[in-house]
Amino acid sequence: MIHSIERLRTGDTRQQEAYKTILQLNILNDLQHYHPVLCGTYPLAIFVEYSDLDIILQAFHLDRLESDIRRFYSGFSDFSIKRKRIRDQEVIKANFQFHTFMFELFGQKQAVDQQNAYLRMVIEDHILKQNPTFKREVIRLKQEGMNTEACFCKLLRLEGDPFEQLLLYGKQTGIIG
Amino acid sequence: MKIKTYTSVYEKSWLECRVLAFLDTAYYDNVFRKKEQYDNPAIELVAIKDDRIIGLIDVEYESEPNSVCTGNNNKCGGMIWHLAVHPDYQRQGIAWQLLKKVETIALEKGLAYLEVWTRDDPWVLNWYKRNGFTPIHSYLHVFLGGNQEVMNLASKLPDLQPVQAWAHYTGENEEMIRSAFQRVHRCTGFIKKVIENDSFY
Repeated sequence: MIHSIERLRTGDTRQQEAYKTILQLNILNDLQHYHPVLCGTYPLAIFVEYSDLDIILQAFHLDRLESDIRRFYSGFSDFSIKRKRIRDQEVIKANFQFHTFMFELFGQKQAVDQQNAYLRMVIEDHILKQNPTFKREVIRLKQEGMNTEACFCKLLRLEGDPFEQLLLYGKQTGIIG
Repeated sequence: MKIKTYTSVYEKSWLECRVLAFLDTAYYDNVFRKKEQYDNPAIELVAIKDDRIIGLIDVEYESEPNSVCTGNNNKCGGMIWHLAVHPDYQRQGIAWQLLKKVETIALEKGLAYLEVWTRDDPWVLNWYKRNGFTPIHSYLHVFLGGNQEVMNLASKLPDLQPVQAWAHYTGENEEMIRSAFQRVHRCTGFIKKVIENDSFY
């Protein structure tokens, strides 16, 4: 398991700022029943200035999660929440701003360590450890507007849908089971 | 940095940001002295830092298909008329943030696609391609200046002599146009379907 919050605590200035913001928001306690895990670019230190803080959640009762999210965060600026279906699963997505960070919360039935966002973070972390020079390149490509997965696929010369290709790469190389 | 809806309080800062952002582009002389207003509803967003505009995007959108866009689509779209980032803040993902926000609002408004037209700055064309825009059509913007070039123009009004002009060329003979005129830009139209990207999850 990647201890993503711990990585922020010991990371660079912006990561530490993100860490303090998450603690101040108290989201890890308020939503603890949903096993919140920070994913995305901050734990891997490949964020750009305005990257979101992505927090994934496991929720068997989406009504309850929606009600909790509204209760805690609907007062924040740019708050929005949506229920929808992704790959035949009912999910919840919520966004809001707190301090200088945009948060994106995503909840579904699946365990957080089985969710695609988490699996891709594990794969990207592994790739970065094997190829330390990729970090600077990923950030550069992201600053030019490319999404994280597309950056990795470009550097690894993987073609096709970057979100699927990166997962496939992780499976084929044994990074994920 | 915060992304907000434009209000007229920011007009001066909006104009300054736009003119500085365009200095290094093929639109360097496309200077506005007043912020553009639209006949149709518009999504007008600004990126603000220290109470100063560092990025902007304007999208005029349709209530009736094909009333603003040329996407030849039966669905309503939005035309990006202005997208600019202050030179001091470029390459930090601000344009991407503005576009992302516009796409969220466009989805809520039920727009099917975004359209944009831009001249031939390679980094601008690449930015649109990288951000999921597909080229649909292009033609030439031709600037006429100097005696030799404006010779091609005639005025129907007595004693009115054209000195400068700019024109659209939609014909096939690009070589002829480029050899006859010094300043020629290819203007390319792009569209991007507005769909919610849930691939991350």
